[in-house]
Amino acid sequence: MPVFDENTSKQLSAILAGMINPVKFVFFKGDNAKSEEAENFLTEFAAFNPKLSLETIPHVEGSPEAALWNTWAAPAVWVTTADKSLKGVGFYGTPGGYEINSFLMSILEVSGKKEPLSPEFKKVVDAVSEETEIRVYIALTCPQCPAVVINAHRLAVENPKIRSVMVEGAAFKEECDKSGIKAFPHLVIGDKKAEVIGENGKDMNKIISALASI
Amino acid sequence: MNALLYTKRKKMDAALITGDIGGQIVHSASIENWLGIPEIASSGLVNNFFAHVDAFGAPIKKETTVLSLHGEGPVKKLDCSDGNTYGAKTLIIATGKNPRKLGVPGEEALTGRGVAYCTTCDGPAFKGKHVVVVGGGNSGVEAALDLLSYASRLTVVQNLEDLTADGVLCDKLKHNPAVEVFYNSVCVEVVGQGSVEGLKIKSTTNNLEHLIPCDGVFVEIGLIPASSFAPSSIKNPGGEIVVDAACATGLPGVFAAGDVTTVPFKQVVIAAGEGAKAALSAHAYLLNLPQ
Repeated sequence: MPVFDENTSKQLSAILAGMINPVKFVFFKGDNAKSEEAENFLTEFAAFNPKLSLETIPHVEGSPEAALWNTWAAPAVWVTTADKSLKGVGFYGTPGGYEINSFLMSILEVSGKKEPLSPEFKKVVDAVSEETEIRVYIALTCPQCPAVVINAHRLAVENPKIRSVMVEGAAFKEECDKSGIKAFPHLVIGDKKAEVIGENGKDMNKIISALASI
Repeated sequence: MNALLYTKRKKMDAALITGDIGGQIVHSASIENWLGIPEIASSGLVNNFFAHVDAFGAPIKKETTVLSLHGEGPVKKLDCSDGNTYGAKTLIIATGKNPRKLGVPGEEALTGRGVAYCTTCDGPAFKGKHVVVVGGGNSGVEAALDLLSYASRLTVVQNLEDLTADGVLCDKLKHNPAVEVFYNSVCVEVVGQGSVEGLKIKSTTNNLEHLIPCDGVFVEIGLIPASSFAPSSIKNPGGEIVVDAACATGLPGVFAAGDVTTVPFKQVVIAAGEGAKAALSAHAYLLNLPQ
């Protein structure tokens, strides 16, 4: 059975018609059911617009590819430009459910359709000089979550030192338990250097303050 | 959103200031009582509302909350969380309601660290965990039933001697072996260092305290009007904005609609209808302003 019904496919294609430049999905596929699910999702999704393409890499921990993309688990998908120079906009798990919104937004943004950050925000984001991973733990059933993922991805598009990833809580339960995640959305900067919990992350001011505090 | 739709249909120069799109609706999974649509995902209904309204091109200021309202004088002013003050000849308050909090020690510090108010958002974080739901009304029992798809153990704390939710829901809950209910009990403290470790409750019959060890506490004890920014002169003691049949408040030119007001029965269809009425009243107010 297809992941997307006819009506949804039409709607998604219509939104993706707003893409400017080609966008590639670099997909790290693991040996697990979640990876199969994500692959089906991405394969169908990539067919919605000729500017989209999918490249699948078998995920091997510690492999050169995994290291190049800083990928720590599978399934993971990176939304990148045709030349694969952008390596900071990612999703661990499947960007389905409500996260279809953040997935669409990341594609449009990476394709070149982006709004500029305000100068004050840009100053803080540009000042990040060390590699920093921002994780946004989410539930696919959470209507509040995509806004936070979108905010985090905007920062990654702005500064190549920043890597922003959605982490699907249900698919990475151990990771959640290890990090003490008890709410969705929950944004963590670096190794718990700073965090923004709940709907607070919908407010870019709060993420920027957290980023400035590290 | 319906108020904005009606102002635009009257060709008024209108703008929307809002913390989010959809409000309380998005906290339910689906809506089953919107006339003409037997069932629709809440997000779908909200997206339809928003697309309809957004097509009129009115400025929409999202992620912005109103901190205070100054409704005296010909230009009504709103101080907002984005640092700006916005002014207009007429205003419609349609801020709805927010979840009521327990107001006990530990609640605020542990919000997002085990204390939660949204089962559809935070429920999945409690897979295989022990969760307490505070509240035995419809929202509490519905939340508890939702959470049973994740939690391995569930405790309900109710301040009355029985659950007050609809009978069918109560039956479903009471017959589940993973569920325990504490009646005649109120919350005293949310306990935990860095994250929730337990909930201390007190019996209202014998005043004895009891600690329930748990991983999460979902607070489902109803809602309070989102009206903290409005002057007390236009609110009742419960914080609802007092309106007449035309949605007018005690301040000329300031109207209110929906769940934030004294209108009885809080329903999506009623709130939407009230929004339309408030917009038409605001339009009539502008037409009658002395030039």
